[in-house]
Amino acid sequence: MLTYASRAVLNERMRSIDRRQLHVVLPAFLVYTLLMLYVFPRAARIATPWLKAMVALSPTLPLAFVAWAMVRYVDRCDELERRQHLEAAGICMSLGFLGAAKLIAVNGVFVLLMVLPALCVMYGLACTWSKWRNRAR
Amino acid sequence: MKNRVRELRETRGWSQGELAEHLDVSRQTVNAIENGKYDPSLPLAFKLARLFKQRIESMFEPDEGR
Repeated sequence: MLTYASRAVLNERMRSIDRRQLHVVLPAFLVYTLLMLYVFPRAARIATPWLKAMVALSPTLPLAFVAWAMVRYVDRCDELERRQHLEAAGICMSLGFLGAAKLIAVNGVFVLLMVLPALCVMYGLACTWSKWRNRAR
Repeated sequence: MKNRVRELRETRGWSQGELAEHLDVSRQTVNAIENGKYDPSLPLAFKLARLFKQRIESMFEPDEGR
């Protein structure tokens, strides 16, 4: 969302690939949120192993869809935008390393619910910063 | 790297957005190339040269000492 906001701030036209990406990613994140809030917590109370596994893994489906959409989107971006996405991904990975080095304290529930949104916000901010650096003056 | 992209674009009376559409890149990329903030890849440099009917070496010049 921040990436799209930055495009608007820089008076960059919204291309068809941007619109398509927005229409694909937003519903997928809505499904992910609903699954995490209402379906995933029920996994602990299910006795049947295969059903429990399916319910526990259900949030990964919209995430896999988002990952596929991101790969397709970056593939259709031009070369400068690909570099910006690479920089943003690098910044997100560094956040993950800070967590792994225990510089950012996170508990189990926080990891489950907040890591993905935090990474998305970091990615959006990093993309916005990268686009801002190359803005027209 | 110095380049003549802005000069050539302006002689044609194109905006950055129009040039971006011809090259199938974002306006931001055109702006970054014109301001020397980003050096285009070889395929994009060839595309620019072909579009403006120029030789690549007449459009792009490496900075001194690089």
